[in-house]
Amino acid sequence: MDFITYIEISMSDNDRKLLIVMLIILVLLFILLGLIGMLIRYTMQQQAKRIDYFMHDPVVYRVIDNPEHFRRYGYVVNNRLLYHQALVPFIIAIASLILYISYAASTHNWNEDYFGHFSSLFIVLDWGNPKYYSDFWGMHLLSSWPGVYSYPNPQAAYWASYVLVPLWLTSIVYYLVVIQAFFARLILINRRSRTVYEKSLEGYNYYASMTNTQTGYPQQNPVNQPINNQQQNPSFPPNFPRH
Amino acid sequence: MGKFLKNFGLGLVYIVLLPFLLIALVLFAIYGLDVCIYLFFASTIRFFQGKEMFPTLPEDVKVAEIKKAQMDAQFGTPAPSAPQASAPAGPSTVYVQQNYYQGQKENGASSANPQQPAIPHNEPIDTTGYFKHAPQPPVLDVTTPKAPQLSNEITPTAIPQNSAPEPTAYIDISHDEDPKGDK
Repeated sequence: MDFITYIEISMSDNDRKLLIVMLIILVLLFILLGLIGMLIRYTMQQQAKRIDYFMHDPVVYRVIDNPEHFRRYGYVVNNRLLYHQALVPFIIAIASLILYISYAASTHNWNEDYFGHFSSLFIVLDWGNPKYYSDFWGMHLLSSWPGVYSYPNPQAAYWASYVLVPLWLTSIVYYLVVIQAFFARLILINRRSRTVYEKSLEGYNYYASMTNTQTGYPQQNPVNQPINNQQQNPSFPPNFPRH
Repeated sequence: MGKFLKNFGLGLVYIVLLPFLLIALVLFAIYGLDVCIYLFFASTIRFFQGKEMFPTLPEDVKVAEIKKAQMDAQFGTPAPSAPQASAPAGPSTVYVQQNYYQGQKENGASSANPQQPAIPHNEPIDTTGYFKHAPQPPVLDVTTPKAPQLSNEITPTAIPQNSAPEPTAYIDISHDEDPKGDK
C-alpha cells in the first residue's frame, strides 16, 4: 500500500506558501523566546548573587552551622532586601495614585480611558480588520501585516494620561523585576543550604582507609586509625589497650 | 547549528512553561506585597517606639563580636571585658615632684587628688579601707611593651651633644645646718 496515496493531503499553492511562512515564523519565534529566556535566566543569576554578600560572613565565621538555620536567616534577609528594593516602585505607585485621585476629583470623571488616550502618542495598527486574516485548516490566522489604524496625534487635553500611564507602567515593571530578583534569591538560598553543608563520600573508600596485615588482608584496627593514633592525635590516651 | 537547536528547544520549553512561570510570578508578587506591608507596619511601630526600624539579627551581632575579637587579638589591644591601664610603648621621662613642706588643708583633703574621697579623722584604719574609698581597685599592667623595630638601613650619625638644661628651680641644701654636727 502506498503511504502517500493513502494519506491524501490536498493543498493549494497559496496554502503551501502560507505553511512555509508560518513554519519560518514559528522557528524564529521559538529562537527568540529561547534567547529571551536565556537573558532572563542570566539576569536572575546576577540578581541572586547579592544574597551571597549577606550570607557569607555568618557562614564563614561558623555562626550558621546547619541548613535549617541557613534557610531561616536567608529568608529574613531576603524579605528585608525585597522591602528595601520595592520601596521605589511603591513610592512611584503612591505618587501616581495621588495624582490620579486629584485629577479625577477635579474633573469629576472617574472612568476616563487613560490607556486609550496614551496610545495617541504612537502608531496604532489595525489588528481587528478581518481582511488581514485567512482561514488555514480551520484556523483563523493572521496572514499579512496589518495596516495603520491611526498615526501619532498628541493632544494637550490628555496630559494626565501621558503622565499617569508611564508612572503606572514603570511601577508595575519595576516591581516585577524586584519580585524576579526575590524569586532568584530564594532559589539560591535553597540551593546553597543543600550544597554548603554537603557531606560527600565521593572518592572515599571504606577499605582503603584500613591498614593491611602482613598477609595482605585489610584489618580494622582502631589503633591504626588516625583519630586513635597518639602520634597524629595528641589527645588520644597513650595507654589505650591495643588489640 | 547546536546552539541554534539549543535555543530552539529552549524556546519550546519556555512556551510550555510560560503559564506556570507567570502564575508563579503573580503568586510571588502577592506574597511580596504582603511581606512589604507587614514590614512597613512593623518598622513604623518600632520607629515610633524609639527603636531601630529593623533590629540587628543575632547572627550579625555574633559575627561582629567575632570580628572584633579577631581584630583585638591581631593588634594586641585589650579586650573590653578585661580593662587594663595603658602603658606608653616607648621610653618615657617621669618627673617626680617631691613636696617636702606641703601644708595640710583645713578639711584634711589633699589638693593633689581632689576627686579622692577624704578619709575622716579619728577613724580606725581598715586594711581594706583603700578599696572602700577608691572607685576602682588598682590595675597592674603586665603587658610587655612593644620593642621598637631595628632596621639596618639607618646609618649611625653623630649624636648631637646637648648641654643639660638648667633646672628652673632647685633646693639648695649646702647651707643647711646639721643639728647633729653642731653638737
